[in-house]
Amino acid sequence: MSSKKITHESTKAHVTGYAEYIDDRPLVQGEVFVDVYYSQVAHGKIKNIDLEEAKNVDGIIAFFTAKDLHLNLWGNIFHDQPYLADQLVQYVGEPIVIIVSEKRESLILAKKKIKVDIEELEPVLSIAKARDKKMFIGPLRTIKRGEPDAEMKKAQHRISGTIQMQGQDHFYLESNACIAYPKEDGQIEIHASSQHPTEVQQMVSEALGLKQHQVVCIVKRMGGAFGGKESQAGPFAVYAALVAKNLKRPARLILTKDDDMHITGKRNPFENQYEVGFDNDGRILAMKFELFSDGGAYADLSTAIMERAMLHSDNAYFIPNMFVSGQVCKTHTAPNTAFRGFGGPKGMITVENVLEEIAIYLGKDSFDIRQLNLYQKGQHTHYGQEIDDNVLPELFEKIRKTSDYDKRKNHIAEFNKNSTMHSRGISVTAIKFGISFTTRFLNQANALVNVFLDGSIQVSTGATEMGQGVYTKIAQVVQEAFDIPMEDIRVMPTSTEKNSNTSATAASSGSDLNGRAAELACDIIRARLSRLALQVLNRPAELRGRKVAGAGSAPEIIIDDSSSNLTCEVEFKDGFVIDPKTNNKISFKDLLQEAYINRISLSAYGFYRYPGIYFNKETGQGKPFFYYTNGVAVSEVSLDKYTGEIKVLRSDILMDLGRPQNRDIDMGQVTGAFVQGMGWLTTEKLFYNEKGVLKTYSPSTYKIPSVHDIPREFNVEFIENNLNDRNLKGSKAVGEPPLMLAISVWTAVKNAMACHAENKKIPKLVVPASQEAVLMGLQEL
Amino acid sequence: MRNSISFYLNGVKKEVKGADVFLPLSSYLRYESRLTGTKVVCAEGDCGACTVMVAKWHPNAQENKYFSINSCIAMTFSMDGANLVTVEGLSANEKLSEVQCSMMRNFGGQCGFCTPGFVMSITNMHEHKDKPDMQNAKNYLTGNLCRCTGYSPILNAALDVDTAKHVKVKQQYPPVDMAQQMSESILIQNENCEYFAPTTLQEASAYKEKHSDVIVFSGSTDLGVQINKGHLQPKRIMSLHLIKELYDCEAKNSEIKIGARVTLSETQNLIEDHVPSKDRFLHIFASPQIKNAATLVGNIANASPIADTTPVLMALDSVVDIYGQIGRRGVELKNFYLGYKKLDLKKDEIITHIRFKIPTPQQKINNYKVSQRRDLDISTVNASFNFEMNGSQIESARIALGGVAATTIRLSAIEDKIKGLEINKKNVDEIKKLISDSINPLSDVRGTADYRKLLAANLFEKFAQEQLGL
Repeated sequence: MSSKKITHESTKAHVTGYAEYIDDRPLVQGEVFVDVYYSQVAHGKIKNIDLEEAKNVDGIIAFFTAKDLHLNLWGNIFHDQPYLADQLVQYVGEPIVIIVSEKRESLILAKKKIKVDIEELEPVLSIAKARDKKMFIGPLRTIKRGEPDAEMKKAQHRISGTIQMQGQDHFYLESNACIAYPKEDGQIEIHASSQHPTEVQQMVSEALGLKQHQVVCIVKRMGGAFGGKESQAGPFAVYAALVAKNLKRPARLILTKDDDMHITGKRNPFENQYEVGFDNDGRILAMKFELFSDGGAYADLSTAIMERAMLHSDNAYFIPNMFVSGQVCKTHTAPNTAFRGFGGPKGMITVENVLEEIAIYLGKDSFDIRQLNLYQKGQHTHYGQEIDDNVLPELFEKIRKTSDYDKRKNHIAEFNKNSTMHSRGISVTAIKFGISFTTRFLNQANALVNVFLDGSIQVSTGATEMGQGVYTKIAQVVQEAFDIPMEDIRVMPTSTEKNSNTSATAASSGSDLNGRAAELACDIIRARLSRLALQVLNRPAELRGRKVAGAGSAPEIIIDDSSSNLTCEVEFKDGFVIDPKTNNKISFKDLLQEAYINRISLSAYGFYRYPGIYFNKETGQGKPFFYYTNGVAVSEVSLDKYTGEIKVLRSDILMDLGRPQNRDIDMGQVTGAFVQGMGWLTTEKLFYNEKGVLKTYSPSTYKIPSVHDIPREFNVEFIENNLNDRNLKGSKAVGEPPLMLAISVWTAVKNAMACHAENKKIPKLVVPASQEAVLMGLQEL
Repeated sequence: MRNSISFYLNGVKKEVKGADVFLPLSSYLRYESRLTGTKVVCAEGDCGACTVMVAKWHPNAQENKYFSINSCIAMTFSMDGANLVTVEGLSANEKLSEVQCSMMRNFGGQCGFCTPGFVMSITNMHEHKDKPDMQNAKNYLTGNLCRCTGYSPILNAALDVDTAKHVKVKQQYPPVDMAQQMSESILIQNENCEYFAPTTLQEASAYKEKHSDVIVFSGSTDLGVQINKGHLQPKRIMSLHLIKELYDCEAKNSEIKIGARVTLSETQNLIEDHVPSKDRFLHIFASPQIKNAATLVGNIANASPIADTTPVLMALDSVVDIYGQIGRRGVELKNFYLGYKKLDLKKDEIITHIRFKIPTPQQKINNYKVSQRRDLDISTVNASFNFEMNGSQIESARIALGGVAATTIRLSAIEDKIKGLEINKKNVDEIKKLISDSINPLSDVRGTADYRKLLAANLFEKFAQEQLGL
């Protein structure tokens, strides 16, 4: 590990404004502008599409509809969603017509002149209504352990209820964007803002009837994604490619934030019913969860999200008798999709809410209740995975001290007695977040490393850069393999031309999978160079170099250059390659020269898959996760009793990230994820009218946290953990897990509300805990 | 008469005419000037990704100072006479500014899309504050959204700027005063729109009387949004930036007078020294970028029922000064709104100033704003209370509420009724009920009617606790 700070590889480009995003690419000759006309009706039959008036708008040159596609159906898990609505529209925002203009400013006007006649049908806009009508996506899934029904009956105390949570818009700053360039012989090159270039390539080829070898997708970087561009960037690439293919002109599709928010899906809303049985101490004996999610109009990734919610319904706590079921509901809203944490937050908050309620019910401290129920090493989860490498008890003990929990708890109780205007609350929550895609075959990655003769290196993987720093971490892997300066390593834009059949950069696994693949590619080259170096160092100097090789006066060095022999007997140090037995050395660059003139490949392809994972979706049992990322957080909030306004006074976070590969980048992931999670739990409110129209579709009405909303005092620490040798360089994945630590803010709000209640009445709280929800909730106590 | 506008862009003089004049400034920068470091996300001034530094023209050259604005809702024509610096301008000759270096070493960027905007806002802070603290940093960054970092690394970067190494924008690009060209009026016509900038109120009034479709532009912080979202296609635009009298910003003879060209920032600076209000009104309302562009008179003229400055101005008994063909007149702000977005303003009339008496230290004043997010959010309900007390007795009361009706309202009937009342728990509950019963708000995106009624009443109780000794 280098002690020197390694900054984000794009940081200079970021701060100077020269980092290139899709719409920053210069216009090329003949380029056209593309836009999407979408349904204004949540559910209905398309009767007629009238483009006559729109055609006359200055600059407009073409329109495309469903009939222009070779295949008008897509979907990552179920193939159930049309690219362009044909006969039926199923949500406000569903694309119907693609508009093409030679003038950027004409698009907005033309969109207003398109007239689509839709016969309205009754929309289903809530989970409750979908359940009434039995509108479901995928089967009901269950996981059971022990005897939850029998043990529930025997328990001394029982609590039951429902927790409702709204969705969340990703609000990546760069809205969906794509440019498709037509190339000769029907080929198309696509530059997209997508987490999944391989899927873009597949979707475009399927939709347009091309072979995959005719389509290249390149992703340089995204201006944020957070899961929102895992599956849903694909259709926009299809629209741009459709235009490029038909008009043989480059086609640029840049969504406005407003349109992006109408068209694309969000975090799934959930409505979870819970029943818990526990003893006088607060020990959980039995727990039953029925999870219902709002999938929106099409399946997208919702069944996989539900699966992760079910697998995180235990969170950090041992539940001896447990039942959890999950059912995705279909409604007439935008198809909901991946969002940082996937199903994790929705399972975790349900059990964290239960623990907070047990504490209120028993009049006990919720920190104690949580510690009492915590997983111990060697126990198994409800889906049968053993808890090993368990740092949870250590994390709880440490943060109790470092956050000064007990003293503050007393101080808060005192404060609440005396304050008429404000009420304070404090709460701890934990995370045990499983790392891997729960679908095993997605856990694979490949990498290409090209070493050039001047000692500089290009590395390409399937990982896409959305700000999380995966390019930096991959560059670090290569840097450590050869011990050369960081500036000699360049991570190339992610391209299906370099890395094929890759998975989405998702599930927090981007650095794990792709970093390991890059490491393997480096190992292959290191092994070859090692065998070469040992021979070169034994050779007299006059037989080295290009001149003698060119003259043919030196015999060629032959080595075993198979990719399976990874033995490396030399050291790569500070730009030199050293034989540790003799201390003889050759400079890295000279050795590369020798490799070239002796016809030894300086490129390698690494392939990696997580070993030993399996999960049977039908029985709900297996070992779906390679390992867990753990953490705890203590948050203190203050409520204004007159307005319901919430202030987060302090949050302390303690995480186990193994041996962090880049401490500063990981720190940024933690603070960023936490604040994003706070947004979901407090300020971000999606408001739909009775017709299913989203009314909060831009930042003037949809409020992600601002700089003033972050905890007044914000302490983030990592513990030392050198035990995790399974993963890349002993590190642990960080992308999603800290988002769920923000649940501590929500439970702290509940804790603050509870101090108003008489007779230990349990306050009801929804997600988000908006000011209105808090103020109105206080009235009910 | 000129047929073009001129300004300096990263130190280079630009003369713009024709259709480009009517572009949002961000489009002019991104698509006409290849300066794509300025990003557009929301196109409505709420995210700050498009932040640039502008020294607008001012008749007093001393006042030509650089401030941050949102270039997405600024119009190119409003740059006449200005000096403009974009993120690219900061690293001229490949040498990065100290703010840029600080952002790099503090991991201030992740996806990078908001980063140029933050660089500009931090630059703006260091333009105006020599030793900023954490609270300053948060206030100066109110108008910039980041979805990746959780802001902590950016705050670290903002406060880690080495002031010894920092070069202010005014030193890097000393503002050039274009006084001479600013004495000449402008008329720019193209097939869709006409732009007129007169040098006198007389010309302005005559033009407005002649053309019923003219829209008077100033900071365009609302009109820019309407244009970007396709809700407004102006046929005729008038700018008052060449009329010197409208730059008045003064506290004289116990009265404050703010001209139509004075921004909220300039207003705030003047008022903070003269109004003894705990929340120092205007302080948490709106972002620096908006306050640096929007004018106080524009906020009044826009007549939004949830405008943040209206309740306080109404509770201060402000007067609106108006210029028309037959002369000048004043109208009390509380009588100025005739209905939803309907003003007591004739065809030929132009608002020139707003005036109010500086409150005495005896007046108990406070202003409240409740919104889903505390900062840079549109109010669900806002309120201003201005009371004079005789011991614990109410001597006079002024109550103004926004977000509860089609216009901002004064509760004059209640004000009269509660004169002489003692402040105690029973009477406060009584007044809360009066307030709640007197309003009939709507339910919408920002809150239900019941919530708004409860809020309006609760805000009074909060005021009574904080200021009236309840």
